[in-house]
Amino acid sequence: MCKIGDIILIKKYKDGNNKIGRHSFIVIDDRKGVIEGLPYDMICNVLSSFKSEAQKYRKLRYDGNFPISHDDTVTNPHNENNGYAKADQLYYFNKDKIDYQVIGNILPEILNLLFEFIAESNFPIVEIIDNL
Amino acid sequence: MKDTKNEIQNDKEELNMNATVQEYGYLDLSKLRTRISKTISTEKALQDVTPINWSNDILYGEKKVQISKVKDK
Repeated sequence: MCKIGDIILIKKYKDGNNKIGRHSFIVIDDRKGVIEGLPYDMICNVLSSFKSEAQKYRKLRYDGNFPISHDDTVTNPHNENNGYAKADQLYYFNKDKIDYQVIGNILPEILNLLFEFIAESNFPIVEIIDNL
Repeated sequence: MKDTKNEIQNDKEELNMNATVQEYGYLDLSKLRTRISKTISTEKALQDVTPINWSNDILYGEKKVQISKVKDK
């Protein structure tokens, strides 16, 4: 059970695809819907860390990346608690088809900032629906 | 016979839950339709994403992580 604003860690994707690592996502919408004939009940943005300062500089120059910070103690690699949300990708999920864990939340005012960021930008958006 | 004390407690919990849910607004996805460029696979979408490797405290559910915004981009 998860809801808008939750941070989830997906441990297993549809059909047990093990080529994909364990990634964290922000639940940006928890309403049910249908896309291309497939039902979904959650839409997410993925969270990413940085491999290096050089990559950080490159990634944050891209319009579709929304910088974030978190309060975890020490992550691996430790990037001073910084990362970004890929606001240009919408992941559609059906909770029954994935194995996930709720690990935290995003502050409401920050989610609202993310929404403003998405709404007021012009970057193209891609949809990921192969987990439905 | 209804248990009034439990009813009041349940109402309070429901109010708190509703208050939490009401703090989050929704993005108007219909306004993004013209910006949807294509559909891609999960593998392709995640190929440039570096997973955040959370601490054991987070992974084992002993604490929850909270996301905020970096002050300077």
